[in-house]
Amino acid sequence: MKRIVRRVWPAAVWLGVWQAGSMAFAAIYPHGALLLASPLASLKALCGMAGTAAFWTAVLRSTLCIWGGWLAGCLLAVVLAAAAARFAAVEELLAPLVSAVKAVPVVSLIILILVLLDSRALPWVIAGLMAFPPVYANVLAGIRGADRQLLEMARVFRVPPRRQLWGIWGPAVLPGFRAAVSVSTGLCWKAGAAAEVIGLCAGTIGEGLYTAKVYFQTAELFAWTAVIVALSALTEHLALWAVDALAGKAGMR
Amino acid sequence: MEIGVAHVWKTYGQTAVLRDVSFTAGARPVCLTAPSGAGKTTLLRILLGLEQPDRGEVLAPPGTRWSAVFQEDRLLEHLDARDNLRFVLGAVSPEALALLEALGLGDVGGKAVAEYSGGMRRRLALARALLSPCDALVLDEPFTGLDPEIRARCWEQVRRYTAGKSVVLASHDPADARALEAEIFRL
Repeated sequence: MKRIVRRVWPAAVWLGVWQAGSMAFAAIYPHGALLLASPLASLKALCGMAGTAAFWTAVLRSTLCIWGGWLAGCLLAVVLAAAAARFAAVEELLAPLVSAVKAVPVVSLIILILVLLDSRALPWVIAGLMAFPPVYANVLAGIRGADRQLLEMARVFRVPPRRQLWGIWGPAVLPGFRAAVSVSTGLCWKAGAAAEVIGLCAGTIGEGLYTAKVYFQTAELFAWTAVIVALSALTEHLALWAVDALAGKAGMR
Repeated sequence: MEIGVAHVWKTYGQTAVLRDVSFTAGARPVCLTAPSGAGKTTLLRILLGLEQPDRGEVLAPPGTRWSAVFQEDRLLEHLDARDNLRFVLGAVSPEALALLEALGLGDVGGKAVAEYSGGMRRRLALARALLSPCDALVLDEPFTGLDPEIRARCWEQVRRYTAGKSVVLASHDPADARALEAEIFRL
């Protein structure tokens, strides 16, 4: 109970601040409520949107796109991290690419990809690019940090590679991979939504955000933002649950 | 089968750890004794092929299957006793369970090794080495931290499981060599 109270009261305070700010805007400016919609107006907008098929289509389309990109980015990162740990040349080859993806502003990547690819592929590619660097770096560090003494033990006892994978390599990689999954899901949603807005991807959450901006519908803007935050949190929880379940089943935890 | 080393030299930086060391172990175990830091563990690592000597050679027939109790326990901390055995052996046989029981590890249930005492970990490392199919065993201070009663039980199981195999033991305690009827080799 105490834990719930500790979580709820700061949220309630900030919602109060938001409500007060909205009321202040409405009192000061003739159309102040348009500038800063209240939490209640945003909730009403969200409920209104949730009653339409277009809303759920947009949520589904964006979710599938971003999850697909995230998953592909993670898989590619794990495979290439394993290759980089085994072959120094692979690590050397990938180092500038990883640094570039980390350093280049997301908006530059979005515009560049928009020039090269169809806008429908944009959120998918951007989500993959956001997932790749943290997962690659953490998996590589995990492989490098695997217990040398255990590896020697496995060598002396002639333990087959498959068993070494779940007994030694898996547990060594798992904490870093979990942390990277947690970070990358949020990044994917942030960058993926931005890509949808800039790429004007039809029938997506990004399009909803863009429309809200064009028509100055701040309540809808907040509603779509809340949807993205909720989906990001859901993605993180689901991904971590899946990682833990798979690791538990494989005997890595 | 005879195993051993012939004229082995090993140097770390300026320090010569092993100087022209030769010994063989056959039907009778060999117990290496020396003060700490005299190169016992290095010699055992060379036998296991984990380090290369600067000079000299390891005497072991090609395809020799080794087993070992390392100086450190080298157990998978997140797994329980049975899963640690399963990791090395592939499956846990009734014989393996009987050995765990004999070494006083029969009632540990699914407790992860990370929660074991030092003595329990040592016994599990010993059980793993004894159960692993092998031709030769290297035992680096296998009875460290064990009380006299448990130590006697371990000696009994080592004698039972190493019959017909080549054994090289490193120990500070002459009682270990006596109990295993080992030939003493001073480094």
